[in-house]
Amino acid sequence: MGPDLQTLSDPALVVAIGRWRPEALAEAYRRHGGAVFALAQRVLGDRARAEDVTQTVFTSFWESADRFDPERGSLRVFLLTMGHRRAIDMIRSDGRRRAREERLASQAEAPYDLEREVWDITVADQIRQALGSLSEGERQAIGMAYFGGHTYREVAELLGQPEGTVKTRIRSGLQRLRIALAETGVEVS
Amino acid sequence: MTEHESDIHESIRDLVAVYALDALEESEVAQVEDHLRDCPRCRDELAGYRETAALLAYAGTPAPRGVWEKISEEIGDGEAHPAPKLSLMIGSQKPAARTWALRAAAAAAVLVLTGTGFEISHQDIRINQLTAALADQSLIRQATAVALDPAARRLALTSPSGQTQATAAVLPDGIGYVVSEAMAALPAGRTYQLWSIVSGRAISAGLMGPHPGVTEFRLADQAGILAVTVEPAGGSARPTSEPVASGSV
Repeated sequence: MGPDLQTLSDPALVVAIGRWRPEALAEAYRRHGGAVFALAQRVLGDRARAEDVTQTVFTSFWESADRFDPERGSLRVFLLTMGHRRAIDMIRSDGRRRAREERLASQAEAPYDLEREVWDITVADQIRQALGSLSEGERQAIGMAYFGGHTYREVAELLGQPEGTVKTRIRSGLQRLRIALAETGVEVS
Repeated sequence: MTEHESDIHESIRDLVAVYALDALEESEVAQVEDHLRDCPRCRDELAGYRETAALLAYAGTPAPRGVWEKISEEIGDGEAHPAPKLSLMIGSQKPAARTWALRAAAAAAVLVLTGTGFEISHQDIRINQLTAALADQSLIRQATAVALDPAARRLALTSPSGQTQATAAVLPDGIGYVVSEAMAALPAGRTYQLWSIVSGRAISAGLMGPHPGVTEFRLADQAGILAVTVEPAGGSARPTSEPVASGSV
């Protein structure tokens, strides 16, 4: 019997993708395409561009599936990392500078609400609980950087805080979140 | 490590967290990446931060439809690739000349629709049959997209003796695609016809023709069973023969 793709583990699926089996890529897309798309859409605020990001993530994954190292984390994290970076590159590209400046101006007026960004109901409660362990400043800095697509320097500027404070808050916030999430037992599938 | 070095390391560790969120200034990225290459501890921290960030991003939404078609198209014409190790052309029967993308899409459709493992050779034979029987590439793409949709229900249509004749995927709105697996060609003047069975009543769900490949159909609301009968060409208002294949929805 050939392997049943739907029951293959993610790492085994990646091996099949490395052997140029498009149906294995299709299965990886079915599992993780939605998450990649949803993150890109939240960062970019634009469906069409988020679809472009999703397409790029999976086509470049097809070319370089060997870059995925299961020891370093799950496939979903790997693909989300690729997608996030791609979305951020889009935001920071010259063509988008003006839109970005406008976004900066509008977000300075409406502070970022990280909690509202978390919206998968199956894990929302645990994540909300974990977010409760962060200080307001940590939450703001992480949300503006990760979902808002701002550099830490921009975050500092928008919040009127020293850059060093923002950097430290991002790190301490992520560490605290990590511990809190580990306690609730949430895992990235 | 001297105190000074340790301070530098501390400040880099802040930057590693910022790097995990893609929020560094461009000018600082190279410095952090250099450090990561040499520092296993920071690499571990980075992996942890990325996982945490991914949890914040966690969204259990279905993969968007339409995007897979573009991906499939893009990877399909990659002539730079070696041929896939999964041979799609074994056996004596040569498939009709088709692009590799078409065979890839068909492979995805078959695999996803069936959702079970098959011997590679069986797959190949089916794909050959599929590609030979199909003229319409966009139909395969649509069927693939539906089969990939997590909201779709998938079912096997089996003969009275239990052999899988066809597989189908149906969206919640009733639009579905059926792929013939083992249905024999019919003589002239006959066609396969699909039926939604609702509380014992048969409602036509569409014609599959005498040489079934991939067919779009519409399942009636509340249908418990999807069935196939052989009917006179043009189809019947009511089934005139016993089902040759059926499956529970």
